Amino acid sequence: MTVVGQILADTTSAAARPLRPVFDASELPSVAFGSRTVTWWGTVGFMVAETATLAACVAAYYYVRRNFNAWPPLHTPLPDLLIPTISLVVLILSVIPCYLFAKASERLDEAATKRWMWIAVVVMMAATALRFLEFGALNVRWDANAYASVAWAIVFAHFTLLLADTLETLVFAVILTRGDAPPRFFPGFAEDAFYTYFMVLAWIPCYVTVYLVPHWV
Amino acid sequence: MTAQPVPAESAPRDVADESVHARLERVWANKPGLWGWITSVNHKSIALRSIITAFAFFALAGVEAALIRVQLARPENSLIGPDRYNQLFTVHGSTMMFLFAVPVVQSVALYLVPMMIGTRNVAFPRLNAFGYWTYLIGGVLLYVGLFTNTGPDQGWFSYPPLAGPEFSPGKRVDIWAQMITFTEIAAIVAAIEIIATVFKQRAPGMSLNRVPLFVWAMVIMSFMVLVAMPFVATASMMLAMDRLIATQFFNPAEGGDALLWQHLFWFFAHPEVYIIFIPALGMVSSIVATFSRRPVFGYTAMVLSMVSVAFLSFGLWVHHMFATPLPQTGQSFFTAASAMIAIPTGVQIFCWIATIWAGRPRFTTPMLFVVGFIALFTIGGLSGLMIAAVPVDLQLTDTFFLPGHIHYVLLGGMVFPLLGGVFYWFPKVTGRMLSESLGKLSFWLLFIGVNVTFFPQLLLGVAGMPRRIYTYTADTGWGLLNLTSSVGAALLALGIIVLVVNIARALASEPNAGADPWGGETLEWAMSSPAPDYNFAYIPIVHGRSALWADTGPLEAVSGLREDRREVLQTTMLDAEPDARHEHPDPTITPLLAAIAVGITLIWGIFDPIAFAVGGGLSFFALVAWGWPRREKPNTREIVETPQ
Repeated sequence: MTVVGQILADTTSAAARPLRPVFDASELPSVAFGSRTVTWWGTVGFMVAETATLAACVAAYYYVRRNFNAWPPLHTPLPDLLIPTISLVVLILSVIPCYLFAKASERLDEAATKRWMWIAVVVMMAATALRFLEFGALNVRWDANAYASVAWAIVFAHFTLLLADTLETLVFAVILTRGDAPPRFFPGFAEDAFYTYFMVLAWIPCYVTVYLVPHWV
Repeated sequence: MTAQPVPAESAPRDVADESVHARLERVWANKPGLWGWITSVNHKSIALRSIITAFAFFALAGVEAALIRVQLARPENSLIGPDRYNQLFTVHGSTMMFLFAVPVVQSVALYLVPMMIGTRNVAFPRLNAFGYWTYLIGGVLLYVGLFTNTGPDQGWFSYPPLAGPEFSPGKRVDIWAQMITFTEIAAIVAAIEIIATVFKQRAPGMSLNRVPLFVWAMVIMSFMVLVAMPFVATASMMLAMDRLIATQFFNPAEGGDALLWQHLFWFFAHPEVYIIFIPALGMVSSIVATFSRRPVFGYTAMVLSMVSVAFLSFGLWVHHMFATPLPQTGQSFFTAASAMIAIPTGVQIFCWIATIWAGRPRFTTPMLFVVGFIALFTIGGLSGLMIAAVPVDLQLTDTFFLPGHIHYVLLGGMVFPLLGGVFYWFPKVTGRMLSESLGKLSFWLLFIGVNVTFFPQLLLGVAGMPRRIYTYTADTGWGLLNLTSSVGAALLALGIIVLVVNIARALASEPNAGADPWGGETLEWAMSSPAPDYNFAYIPIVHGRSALWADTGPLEAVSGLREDRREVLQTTMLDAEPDARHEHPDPTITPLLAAIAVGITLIWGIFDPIAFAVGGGLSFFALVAWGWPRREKPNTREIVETPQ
């Protein structure tokens, strides 16, 4: 008890104590990159939440699978593989210009950032258009049966991420092209690419689930 | 011993002269008038209105509960018919869980965390405003439904097939499902806000192992929100789509599965209990430390216990489904996991008891609520252990035992610590003390009220009274216990009324609290009450876990943040070393516009799927306006540090 007693708080009211500045922050950077920024942590937060969303859809897919003897169910055609696979390849390729504009933005190289960002926008728009076609490649309407519903859910859930990311990159490219972007925007450009890596990576297990699993099992 | 307000002459003195405060005030203040109100991005303004909104919903849900108790007070009562009764208990439960409990603990965090960790605002001020507006629209939607006789009536966990298109035609369930989407968006953005703020904006010296337990609790809760909330948002969207465009997720006739709903829902809703409870633990730790006059015993054990509770809570959801066909191994596993959560919870209770034991406790109103919490939560926890056992659960499931249990847990485990927190932080927020005598009266009315209301419900459950029935016959013998429960509810209402009177009296009086009326441990007590818009003129430097108790000399601080624009200090994630300055946005209307666009999308989406395309477009334009570069301020001199 005495030991504990010794660390009882000194209750001198803190508010009555004066402040003494001992560190000058004025020369700290006002623009930094990567995990030094709050934006990076915010992006990670959204990634966690979106991973959980996709996980819920994929879990639903395998849960519903237990209710059927055949997969896809009888009289339901298999999904096409051609368009989804091209779409996957294009999506993976979009990582290259994203990486390059992220690196350029870290150098504050406006011209290179702009160039690679527009290339990224074109590739991502192609991926978005292909994803739109994928709904047709599923070969079944969303309301046909539970298999159709869960497959549509996974493709649609990821489609919203792809569309949002593409539009964000497009808006950033427009801002850069107008010459409006102050230096503090450049870390945001790098985060945009960082998000794209996640978005592409997250699609791979979804692609395997929706398109390959029905062919395998 | 009653709390003595600190005399006015001990208000904070710091080296910042008046002109520094004036310049910071000019830069950080909200704009005047209504426009200032809807464009504010200040964490305290938004969190305070969010707390008030949450308590308004708490009051509405309380009125619903009172109506339910009046209806059940005697057998064969005809005050409320079955349809209205279904809407009342559904809206009561949904409001308490989604519009009160989670928003209120997150709002308390958004108010206090920046002050406790020594920063000027939350990490994403506009996102914070957006979250509030989204929450408000979702809550109003639910009540527009209730007041137009379109209130959800399927129970707060909305099981299909009852909630599906076949058995619940009309738009009642859809309103519930979209209310979920609104509140989940708000909860997720608040969680991201809290995590980024704590990881990057702590005062220099506040390394992760010095973060106050309250802040740890809020960070842990936020991670749980990020993982759990998307599951219910996905599930509710699936339910809405089953009803709107005939998807088959939960329709067994087409291979869908009603139990899929239960898995997705409870994978969210069991952690939800801890999402509500863990922040309450943080409040308890703050109160116990201050009123025991010593830091909480076992800091590391406390943090690790909260982390283990968070992990374990994701492994318990199936214990809500023991009455469904589950494999026996599954039942055993989830029974064991449910019992296991008692271990880290026990560690925390013992740490608090050790703290009180070894300290010099003062039983002020906040401390009474903590003691009440320990007592009630123990009863709640014990009744929970009973239904964690499968055979007992099979007997008691869907009886009144369940409402009895959940109310002990949530009122004891969450509302009591929260009310303790209201008494504890009210002086900081308003500059005024609440009356101790009225506070103690409230406490006793509520403490007795909880037991008189909910203990009979446990007994009614054992006697076999089903939950969610709007009346019962006299020959069941349930009348006396129900009447007792209703009398208890009146005591609860009285306790809340006394609290409201207490608050109104305090608000009408002159400020008398001073900066630090309790002799607090954490940094929020180092600033005036209420705190200025910029919180700290100079960011404090922290030398120990108890930021304000560590030593008695001058408080060391950081200078050099700009006073002509909104700037915050960023520090490194682990050691909190000064790392960068970061410019924050000025007040803006764009978060409200974005929330309105999302509102149009989701509410119109109840009726027509085209809304998601049109509303998505609207949301896009609102977000572009949000992110579009502003005209640069004069004298913008950025120091850029590129990666090596």
